[in-house]
Amino acid sequence: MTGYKVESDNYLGFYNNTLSVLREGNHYRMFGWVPFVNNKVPSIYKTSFSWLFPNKKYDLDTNLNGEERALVVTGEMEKVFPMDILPMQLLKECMAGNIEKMESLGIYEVAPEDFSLIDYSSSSKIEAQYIIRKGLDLMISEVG
Amino acid sequence: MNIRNTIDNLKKPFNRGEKWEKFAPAFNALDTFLFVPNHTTKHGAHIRDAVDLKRTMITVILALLPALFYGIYNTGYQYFSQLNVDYTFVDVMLHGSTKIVPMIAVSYIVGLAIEFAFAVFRGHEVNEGYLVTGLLIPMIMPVDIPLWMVGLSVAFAVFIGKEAFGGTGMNILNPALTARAFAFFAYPTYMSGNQVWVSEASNVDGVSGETILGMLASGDSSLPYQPMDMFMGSIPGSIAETSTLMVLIGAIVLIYTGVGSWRIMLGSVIGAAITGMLFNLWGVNELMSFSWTNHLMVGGFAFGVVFMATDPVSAAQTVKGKWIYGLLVGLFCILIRVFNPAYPEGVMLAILLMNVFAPTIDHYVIESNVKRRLNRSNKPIVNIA
Repeated sequence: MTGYKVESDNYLGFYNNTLSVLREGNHYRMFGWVPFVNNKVPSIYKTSFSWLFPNKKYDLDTNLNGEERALVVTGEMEKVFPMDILPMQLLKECMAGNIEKMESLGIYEVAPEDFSLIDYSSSSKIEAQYIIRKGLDLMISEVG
Repeated sequence: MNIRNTIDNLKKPFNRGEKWEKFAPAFNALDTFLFVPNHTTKHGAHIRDAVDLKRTMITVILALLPALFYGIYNTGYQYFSQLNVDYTFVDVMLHGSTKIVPMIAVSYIVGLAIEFAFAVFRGHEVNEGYLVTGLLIPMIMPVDIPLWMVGLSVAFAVFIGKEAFGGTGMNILNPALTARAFAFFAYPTYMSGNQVWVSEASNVDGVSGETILGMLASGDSSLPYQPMDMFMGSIPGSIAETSTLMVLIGAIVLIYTGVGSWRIMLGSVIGAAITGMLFNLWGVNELMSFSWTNHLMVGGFAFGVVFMATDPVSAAQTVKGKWIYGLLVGLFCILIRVFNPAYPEGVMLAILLMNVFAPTIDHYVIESNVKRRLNRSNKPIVNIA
C-alpha cells in the first residue's frame, strides 16, 4: 500500500520488492466532485455507486481526487485503522510536534505503513504516512 | 479541452511569482469548483479515494434539500392557510421563495466574502465548510427576520465563531448555531414570541402563530395540532425545522453515505427519549406531561440532532465520545425545554453547550485509551526461552 515514485529512467533500491506501474493522474475532471455521478473511482463512503459493482475493474490512477484541506471529517480514520490507537489524535500531535503526547498515544507502536489506508481514504487528502515518518524522525532526533 | 485551456490562460497572472499571486486562493476556489484539480500523489499510498471535502459537503447539502423545500412550502402554507383565502401550490411556493431565497443569497454572499478574504489573507485554500453553514443559517431562522440581521449574524458567526479560532476544522462552536444564538440574544423580539414564526404575522391582522413549545411554556395546553402535523411539519416554527419526515430523509442520506455520524444521532434520540419518559412520569407542568414521542417531533430537535449536532468539527471526535456527546445533547435539550420557560426551544442551547464540552469528553476518552495501553505494556513479559 505504500511506495515512492521513480521516474522511468531511475533505478530501484535494495529494499524494493515490487514495481507497480500506475497511470499518472495529472488530468482534470469537470465537476468531478459531484456525488453519485463519477462511479469509476472506489470510495469507503457510499457517495458514488462504485460499491454496486464489486467485480468491475477500477480505472485507477495517481490523481489525488481533490485538494488538501483542513481535518474536518472525524471517525473515518478509525474505520480503517486496526490497532487500539487513536490515529487522528496521534497525527495531530505529530503535526504539533508534541513529543510527550506522541509517546503516550503510541508513536513507538506504529510504522508509517500502518497509515497507508488512512492516506488512501482521507477526505481531507492529508499525507498521513509522511506525517508519521516526520514524527518518527523527530522522536529519533529528540529521544535517540 | 477548451474550457480548461481558457481557465489555464486566465490563471496565469495568479501563478507563483506573478502579480496577482496573493489572490490565488480565491481563483483556485472557483477553478476547483469547476474541475477536480490535476494534483497527483507525492508520498505514501499512490492511489486515493474518490471522496474529498467538496463531495462530503455537497452530500450534506443534498441531505438538506428536502427540509429546505418543505420549509419553503410551509412558509407559504402557514401564511395562506391563516388568511383564509384561496391559494394554489404555486402561490405557496412563490410566497415561500420570495421570503427564503433572499436570505440564502445574503448568507452565502456575506459568508463566502469573509471566507475568501481570510483565505487570501492567510494564504491557504478556501475550505468548503461554509457551503453547508451558509445554507443552514437561513434554514434555522424565523421567516420574517430582516435580511441585514441575517447578514450580521453570518458575519459574527464566521468571524468570531470560526475564523477567530483558526478557520475550518478548528472552531469550537458550530458556526450555524453561533449565528442563530447571536441573533437570538441580540434581537430577541425578532427571534421569539408568537409573532415571528408565520410570515407577515406582525404586519397582517388575523395572522399569528405560536410554536407548540411556546404555547406549552406559557401553560396553554389546548394544542390545535395532531402528532401527525408535528411529524409532517405543517406547524409554525423556524423555516426548515418543522418537518420531522423531511429531516428523517436527510438523516437517511447522511447515514447511508457515511457522511453523518449515526452514533450521535442515535445517542441524542435515546438521551431525549429517556429524559422525556422520566418527565412524563413526573408530569408537573405542561411541558413535562407533553408526551416524549411528541418531544422528539416538535421544535428543532430533529433538525438540530441530524444536521447540527453531527457537525464533525464541533462534536466529540472519538467513537466513545460521540455516544456520550449524543446522549447528553438529547438530555440537555429536554432539560432546557422543560425547566426553563424563557427558552422553550432547548436544542440550540443544548448543542452549543455540548460543543463546549466535547473537547473535555474527548480528553477523557483519549486518557482512558492511553491508560489502557500503558497497563497492557506494563504486564510482565513471559520468558519463552
